[in-house]
Amino acid sequence: MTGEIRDYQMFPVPFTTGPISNPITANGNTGNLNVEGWASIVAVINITAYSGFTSITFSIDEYDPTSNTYTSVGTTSALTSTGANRLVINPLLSQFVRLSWTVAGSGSVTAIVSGKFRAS
Amino acid sequence: MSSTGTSTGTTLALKYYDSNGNLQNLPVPIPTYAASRPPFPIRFLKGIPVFWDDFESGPAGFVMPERALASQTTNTGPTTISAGRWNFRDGNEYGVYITANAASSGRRSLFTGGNPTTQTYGDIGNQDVSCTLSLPSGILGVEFDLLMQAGSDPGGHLFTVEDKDPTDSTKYRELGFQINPFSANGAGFAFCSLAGPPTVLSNSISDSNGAILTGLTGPFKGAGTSLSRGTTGSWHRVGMVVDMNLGKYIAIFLDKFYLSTPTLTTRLSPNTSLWKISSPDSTVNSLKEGLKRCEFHSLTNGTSFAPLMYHDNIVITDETGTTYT
Repeated sequence: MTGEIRDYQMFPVPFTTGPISNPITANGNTGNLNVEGWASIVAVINITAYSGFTSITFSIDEYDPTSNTYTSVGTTSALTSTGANRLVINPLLSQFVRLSWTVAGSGSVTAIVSGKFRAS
Repeated sequence: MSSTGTSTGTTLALKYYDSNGNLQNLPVPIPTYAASRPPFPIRFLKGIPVFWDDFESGPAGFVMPERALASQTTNTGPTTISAGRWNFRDGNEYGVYITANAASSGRRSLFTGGNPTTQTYGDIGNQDVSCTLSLPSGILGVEFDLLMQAGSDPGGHLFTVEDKDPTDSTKYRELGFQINPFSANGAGFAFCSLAGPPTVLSNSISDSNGAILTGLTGPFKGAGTSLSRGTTGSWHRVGMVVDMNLGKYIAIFLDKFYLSTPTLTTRLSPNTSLWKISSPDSTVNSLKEGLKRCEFHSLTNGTSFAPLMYHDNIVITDETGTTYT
């Protein structure tokens, strides 16, 4: 390891006018984040308010430009309450990743997701 | 020839071994500024380099935003706000990054473009990336490599120099050069307070040497089923010198095309006080200390798609005392 770490708020994105803001009421995702200089991610999903949903699952997906598809490289368990959850992707091999979430049922979740990116 | 260096007070005495193996002094002392040159050729500018980046250092990947939540400017909360040299204001972090997808030299370049419309921070449809540096003289040159991968007219590339309006603390001012490469012949515009912005280089408006644009080369020319010669590696070298004290264009460069001060003064008469003056979208709290901000934009053609642009080997100079006639 060379030691570089970047601490970045993956969700909600500050000042966004797009769909990646709280509260979460449906399935969604961030955009493609270029991570080609980073070798691993520790994501901390801190759910501060939870109501209604049967569950919510967060995933780190890698993007394949050739097929224009996303493949999950790590998911949380089906979360059903408030609290902090850790999701580690190591090694991180692709050029682009995104954070996505899938809900079951109807309801509302407020969360903050940080990403700690570490260079190799 | 091998060489060795020894420090002698404020000067550097270089020695070398001649063909007889005797240690000799180099006849001319090396100026101290000679050590402060970028690791790539400066093609257009004459001034002293004060900043450069070839994007070879540090981790590649996304660039942090220039703004952050209020809590992120205190000693608590995440550190999402940019604390590095490069950051962005318009678009989002999904449309600007340092990448190995293209490089004019070395391994990496700085990308802007893509889809900055959704999840945008501001100025919908456009993506920018910028750096800020101290240049109290106000006479600034900027030069860089530019590769225009894909886009459609009237999308383009714009780079600007910005500073604080000293007569109005609520405003900033800028001068820039815009290139629209995706039309048949391409065009260059002086991005300033004049309406238009005025075209300074096109198929009908020549440079100072009488040359006219007949189109710009880029990977976007390579669409179709047959290979097109020279498209994918077509990096352009672009430059501009401005006097931000006077609001004046001093020179513009694009590959073989050169716009001198007299030509620009004729085209942009009277070529003074040409700053485009705008109001920031939030509390004015930047650039008060003689700082200058250099911004590189991918300009949308009005759709959600911003042209894909790569930058490399960027150098910024202090052009005090230089002339471009």
